Formats: sequence, structure tokens, C-alpha cells
Amino acid sequence: MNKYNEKTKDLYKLKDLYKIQYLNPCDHKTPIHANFKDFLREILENRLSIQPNDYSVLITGSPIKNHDNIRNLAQIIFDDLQFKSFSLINSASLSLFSTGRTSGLVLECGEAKTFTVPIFEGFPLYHALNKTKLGGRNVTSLLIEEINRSGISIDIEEDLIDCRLIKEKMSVVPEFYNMDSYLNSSEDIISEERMLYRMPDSTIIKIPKKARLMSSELLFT
Amino acid sequence: MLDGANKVSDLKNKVKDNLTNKDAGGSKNAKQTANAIDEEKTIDDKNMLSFLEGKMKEMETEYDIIETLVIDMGNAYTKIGFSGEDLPRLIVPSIYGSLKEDINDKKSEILSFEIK
Repeated sequence: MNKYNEKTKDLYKLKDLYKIQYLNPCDHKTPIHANFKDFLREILENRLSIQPNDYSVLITGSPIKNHDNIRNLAQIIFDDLQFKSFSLINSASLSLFSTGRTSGLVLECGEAKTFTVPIFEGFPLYHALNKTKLGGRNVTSLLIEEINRSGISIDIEEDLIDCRLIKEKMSVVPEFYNMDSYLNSSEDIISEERMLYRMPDSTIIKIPKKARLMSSELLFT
Repeated sequence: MLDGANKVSDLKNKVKDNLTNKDAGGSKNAKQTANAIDEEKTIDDKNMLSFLEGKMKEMETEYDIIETLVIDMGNAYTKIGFSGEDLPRLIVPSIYGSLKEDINDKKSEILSFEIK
């Protein structure tokens, strides 16, 4: 059995006590949540065992900036955690630098949004920036809708991490997409053993073929 | 590193001296220097490996000095690591749990766990 399963079992016990919510600290719409500093402090002190006085911090952000959010973030970093220094840089331009170039076009596909960011000499061109609200979460929701249609009930909002794991393990991107030919073909492209998935409470689910093929196709059409 | 640099500079000086003395002096000096250069080369080849290893270690230590912390905060996962390293140290789902209102007013605690 996986290590993950044992940990999630413990979490399921806690599930009645806790109300689980999701942080999105650098989202340009919502303000930074008050629990964000506790989240960082927990990681720095208990996981990495670091004193933030000794370090300076680089934080990656989305290419669209919100000045109120940046001010709040700086307040948390300097006043509460007391880091030496702090800089906020686009994740798009950083990922371009990692390939060894300073100008180019970056497609950044995240959990909630995808950006296409043209970058010249390290600086993003804001007038030519494109944003769509498609992302990884839409893919999971589509996959789980298809699974729900086949008779197995999973709730996305309650078990988002499990749903994510199902997506990461089970979804397939076919080379040439033609739904009818895949469904009606006599050959089994996906064998039945691979269609089975073990949930954390050790029940086995059969995930339909259509769900596995359809979900990833959202990003390409 | 300094030793290697000094050797190269010494060799260059010797060659320069020879070139200047060539018109005045005989061919003996040139032969001697040629032999000297060969000897030095063999020594250099032997020393080169240790010299390079030393330099590589220096570079590693220079670039692996932990100075800055890098935090990538996404909607799904937050990735935290140090500069100069290849991979993030921690990948944690960006989730927090707070106690429901029905149960007593304890302080909210954070649920975070790794996925391997």
C-alpha cells in the first residue's frame, strides 16, 4: 500500500473536526488570507528548521500584479516573519531564464488559469498578455463528472486531493484523437487492469474509458 | 589555483627571455628551454587533474552556498527550496484546515502533508 493512504486515513479521522479550505495567496483577485503567515511559519520552523533572520526570500508571482496584495505580502514577510530581504518576480520570466534565454513566448498552464506571456529582455509585455480561465482544476472536474455518470459518487470539493491523484494517474492523452474509433475498436487500447483504481479507503473503482480519454482533451480543443 | 597560474606565467617569461636572447645567444638556450617546457608539461598534466578537482570543489561550494530561499506559491501546491539546488526541498499542497464552529473554540491548526 502507498504511504499516502496511511496518511489520508489519519486525515479522514480529522475530517469531521476540521473544515478544510484552500489557500491561493498570490491570486490577483482575492486578498492574502490571514492564515497564510501561519502556513509559512509552520513550514519554515518545523519542516525546514530555518530561522528566517538569516535568509533573503525570492517569491514567484503571477504576471498580473495587484499592489494591495504585494503590500500585504511584504508586511507578512518583514514584520511577522522578519526575513532579510524580499523580491517578487514573474514565474513566466523565471522559467524562461531557466532555459537560458531572455526573450521568448511563455505558455504557463496552472491550476486555475493559463497565461501566454511574451517576454522581451526579461520584462513581460503587458499589452500583449493573454489569459484564459482554463486550468488543471477544470480537467479534474470534467473527469469526475464522467466518473459520476457511471454510477460512482465522488465529491470534488471534499476530496480534491484524491481527485487530483486520480487525474494524475489515470488520464491519458491520445496521439490522434478520434473518440468513436477508440470506443468502437475491437482492440483494447487500455487494458482492463489499468482501468482499476484503488481509493484511499481501499475500495476499487473501475474508471470508464471515455472519462480517461475525454478529460485531457479540454486543453487542446 | 595560484600555483598553476604562477607556473604558466613563469613559462611565458622563460619563452620571452629566450626569444629576446635568441639573436645574441646560441641555440643552446632554446633547446634547454624546450626541454624545460616538456618537463613542465608532464608535471602540469599530472597536476591538472588535481587542480581541476580542486577548482570544481571550489565552484560547487561557491554555487551551493545557501543564501536565498525560493518560494513558489501556486493555487494547488507551494514549492519551497534553496537557490543553487536542482529541486525544491518541499512540495506541499496549499491547504489549511480550521476547526469547525460546533467544536470548542480552539486555535486553528494547519494541516499540511507531503505527497511522494
